[in-house]
Amino acid sequence: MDWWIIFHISLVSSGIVIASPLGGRIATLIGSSKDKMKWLSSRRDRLLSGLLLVCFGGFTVSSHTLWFHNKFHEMGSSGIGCSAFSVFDCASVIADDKYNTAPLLGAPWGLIGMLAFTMLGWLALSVIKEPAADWVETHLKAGVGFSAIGALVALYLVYVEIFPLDGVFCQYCTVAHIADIASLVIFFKLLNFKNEAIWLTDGEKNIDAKSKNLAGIRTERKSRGGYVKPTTSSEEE
Amino acid sequence: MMKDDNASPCRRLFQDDAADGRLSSFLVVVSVFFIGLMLIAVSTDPVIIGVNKGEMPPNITGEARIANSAWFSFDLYSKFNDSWDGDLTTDRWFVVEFMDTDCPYCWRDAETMSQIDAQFGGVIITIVVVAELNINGHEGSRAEIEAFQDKTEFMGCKGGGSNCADRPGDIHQGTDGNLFYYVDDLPGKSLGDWNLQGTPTCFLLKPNGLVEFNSAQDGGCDQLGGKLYEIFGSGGN
Repeated sequence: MDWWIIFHISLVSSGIVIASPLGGRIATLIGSSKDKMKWLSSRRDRLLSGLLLVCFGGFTVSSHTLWFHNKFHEMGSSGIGCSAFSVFDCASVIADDKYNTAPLLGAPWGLIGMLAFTMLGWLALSVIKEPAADWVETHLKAGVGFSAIGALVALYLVYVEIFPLDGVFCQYCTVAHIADIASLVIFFKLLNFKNEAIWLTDGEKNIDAKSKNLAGIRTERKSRGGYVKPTTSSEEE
Repeated sequence: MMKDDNASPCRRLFQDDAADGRLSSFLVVVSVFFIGLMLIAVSTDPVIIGVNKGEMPPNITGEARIANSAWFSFDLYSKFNDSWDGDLTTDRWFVVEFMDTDCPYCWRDAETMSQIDAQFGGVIITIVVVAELNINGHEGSRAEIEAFQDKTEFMGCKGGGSNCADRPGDIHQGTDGNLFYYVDDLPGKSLGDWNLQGTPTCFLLKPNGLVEFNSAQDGGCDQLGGKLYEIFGSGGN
């Protein structure tokens, strides 16, 4: 059993769970608040914390593929294996210089992944530190853009695994692809969330209540097909 | 943002409200990135894949034969001794020549290869990789390769107009234990992997596979004999 892959999967899946609606239930269960486990206390904090974990998981798994790449290029490296479940064999993918090298850049994909997740991690961490800054939306948009490019690269690499390499898959690369797609989804959710008026509101209950309120207003507007007069000032968008 | 004037000087050292979250985040992620790179650097010792001196050339695989025998599967990497200790006398070095049976310079160099075999056959293994250059009149075949190696009757060498039996040099069968391989690379896979544009191109590889001589950098295939003399003196046999 390859325990390292479990480590990478744990980081990425923890991030995904925290950023998902399940994260909200977990936060309620453990009673997180502004004073206790603040990083779970609001939807924005959970999305950002989950995103940071996903990026860190993507970074560690990319680093591991670069480590494998270097190990395969050591003298007498034939003893290193990383096959699993007969369809996964990272050696066949990562040791193949023709496909494990980024076109134009000439660098191994592992290094590109490390750089990409470092940048996505920076975008996420800077928003965590200053959620009220005027550049937050730019960072979130950049996160969506860069992780979308990463998703295209992931699609190309899956194509390489299926066709030129005859259906041999690299489990470490697959975890990195999942981390990239997860970060794309979370960045996208954060960008949508940023456009709601509750981005800077603290406190889970307030946020949930306001979110429901806003959703109710939107539904009512749709059903009546026109403007609905706000009943209280807090309902105004 | 305003600074908190009531905060103690000690606290200000840890948290400066006027600081930009982007810079501190950048320092954090860059630190993590370089820690990852350093861990990889200290735990791996890769060799660079390439054909320049000191690099490990790409593998050559395919069908090969020795003089007057049948074709068999060939794998260059399987012949390397990864734990070679640098002793000149313990393991054989590898002379690799990329050639085309229709190329007039390769026709001429066939004699040079015979001379090298006669002088240094006791310390080398010769591998002739036969490709087919994309030039009119350079159509090769297995029969032509066999005739070129064995010096037998076949009209088709040196541009198609010469009898292979008339080529300079002896039959390439190797002396003093030199296994004189001819590898079929008519599709040009190895030629492409080694990033070679023309023939003849000669290499001398150490017993562990690292490139010691590259004719493109060291003055042509004519200089290979001199390089072998420099390494082994006249005691090749």
